[in-house]
Amino acid sequence: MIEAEAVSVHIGRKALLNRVNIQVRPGEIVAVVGPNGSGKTTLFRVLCGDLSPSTGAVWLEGWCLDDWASTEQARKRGVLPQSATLDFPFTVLEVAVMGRMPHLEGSEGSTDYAIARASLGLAGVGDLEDRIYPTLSGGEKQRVQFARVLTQIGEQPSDGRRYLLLDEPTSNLDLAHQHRILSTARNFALESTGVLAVLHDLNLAAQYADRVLVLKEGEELTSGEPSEVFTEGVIERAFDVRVRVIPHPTMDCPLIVPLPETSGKPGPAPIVGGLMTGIGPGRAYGH
Amino acid sequence: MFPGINNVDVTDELSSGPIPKPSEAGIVADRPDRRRKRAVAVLAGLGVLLAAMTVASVGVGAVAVSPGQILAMFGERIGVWLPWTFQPQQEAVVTAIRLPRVLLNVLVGAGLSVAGAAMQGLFRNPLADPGLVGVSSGAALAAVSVIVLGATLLEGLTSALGMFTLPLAAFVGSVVTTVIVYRLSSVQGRTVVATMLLAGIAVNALTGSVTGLLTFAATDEQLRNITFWSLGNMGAATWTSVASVAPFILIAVSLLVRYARPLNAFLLGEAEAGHLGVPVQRMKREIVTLTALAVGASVAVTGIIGFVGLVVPHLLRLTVGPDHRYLMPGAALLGASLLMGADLAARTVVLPAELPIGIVTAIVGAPFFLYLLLRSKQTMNLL
Repeated sequence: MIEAEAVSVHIGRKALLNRVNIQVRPGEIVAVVGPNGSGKTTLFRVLCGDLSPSTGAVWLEGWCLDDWASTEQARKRGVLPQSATLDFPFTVLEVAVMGRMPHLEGSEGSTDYAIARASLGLAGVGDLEDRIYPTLSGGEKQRVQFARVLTQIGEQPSDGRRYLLLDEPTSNLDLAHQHRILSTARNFALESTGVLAVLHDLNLAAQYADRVLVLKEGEELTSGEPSEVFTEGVIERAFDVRVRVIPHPTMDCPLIVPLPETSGKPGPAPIVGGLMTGIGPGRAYGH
Repeated sequence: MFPGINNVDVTDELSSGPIPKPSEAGIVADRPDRRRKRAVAVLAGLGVLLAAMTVASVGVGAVAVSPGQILAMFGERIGVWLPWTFQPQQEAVVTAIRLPRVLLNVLVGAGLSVAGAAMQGLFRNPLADPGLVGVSSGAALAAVSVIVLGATLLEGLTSALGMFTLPLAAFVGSVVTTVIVYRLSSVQGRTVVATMLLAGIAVNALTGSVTGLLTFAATDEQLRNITFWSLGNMGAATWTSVASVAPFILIAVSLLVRYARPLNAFLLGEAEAGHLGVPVQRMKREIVTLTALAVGASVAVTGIIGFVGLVVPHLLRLTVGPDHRYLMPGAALLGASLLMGADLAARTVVLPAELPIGIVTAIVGAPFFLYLLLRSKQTMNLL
């Protein structure tokens, strides 16, 4: 289990994160949502050890992160940050197989390439393995990086537990690939992987997450199962946008539909737009 | 073992990514195994080139020595008779002058190139150079101080250390500036690479201005000495100078080559490398130290030789790709060969005089570097 207890991050006097608790257990997907600047990425960086919390602590399998050797962490936990800049002309397969690094002493063998190829397939970029990474589109790069992280944790560790931390894994992706990435994460969760995903799209969170943490201004607004968390009141408080929450037509989860801000009468157009693009303010200001 | 391979619940129509177009020439690379085989072939070729350049460097000059004669000389040393005869004078020239010079070229060329490759990896920037973190400018300041103030202010130092004053000062200068830049760019135990670049620029400017001040105050004879030193020269090659730089460069190069795999991960980004299990902080510290060691030792004996550390790794990336496991050993071999070639040109084109080797590397290196830049602009920044 990855567990953060009462973590706070202060930069100067400003609190980016204030006494936030979160637990990620093997076998579940936990989504972190919230408006821009609510501390999602700060929490992400604390959980993966990039940022030391000002107060509070993070544990991995009951041990403080500082007590883990970096290689041991890397064997259990794959981390996909928001943007990875790689300007050197590695091929897609070479980038993916770098995920095997924590498991290897010497050079990569056929097993390592097999795992990397399988991961590329899962990320939907199997046919790009010979392409030069810097020439790919933004969405393709994002999926290759996802494949690299899958390669890293693709082999089940001896104790069976592994973790996948994803910061906005779907930000550059079209609708089909958004669902492909999260379905893959779900399949990993079915094989005792604990998944934490920072997501902008509330409907993706509602569909795929077992539990959701809503952050606002660095504090936990609420947390729980999607059906408990995603109520009109909570979303309006968190995002300052009027929504209607209706049952999903085919799945057992809520569907969030933003309403127009000016008039009280919802027209047909925003409903379609809301389905496709998620929540207005989250998208409008980009990343 | 692998979830989802057989039970992906996304339909096939979702899975088809964009198909690479054949028209995007040069964007699709060889398969990795083919790329690896080619890299090994290139390394083997570079080994042959190194041997050929060594024979040429030993043989060409005012006293010519044929490859057969070179073999015979070595044969005699190890008790094997070979059917080539040579004059005692030839043997004297080879052992006393040519061989130490060849070895110094090999050591310095390999050291500068491997240090360049490591710096470019560390900064994730193909334009990075050991000079960026102040290695060369610190050495220059220390050396110019010794040249200009050696007879007056620093007299105690020069009389105590004798002929070793200049190389020792240059070495200490390079290490000191590098440590200063490194300290300036460390915040709470973490080194910010962008800050390191900026600190390097500032420290370079500062040491440059002090060097300029000393140059301004120098006498004509000192000026000539400064110029000679700041353009690099191999004329000082003796067995003593070889022996004094060999340990530094051999240790630095052999340790830097071991960082090849983590450097590959580093190209993904510092945080990403950390998540792949690379001990990022320790690695940054060690690479900067080893680079200062290799470049500082080189500069101390041969003066400033530019463009080798920048161009050699570039040239190799074009043929073996960005993988440091091939790039680093390749840089050692190619750097050694190129510097021997440059030195061969430096001591033969304006006989009986000798050009500073730094001029040769810059005259050839700078236009070539511009060509690489233009080329990379065309091929979508693939360097």
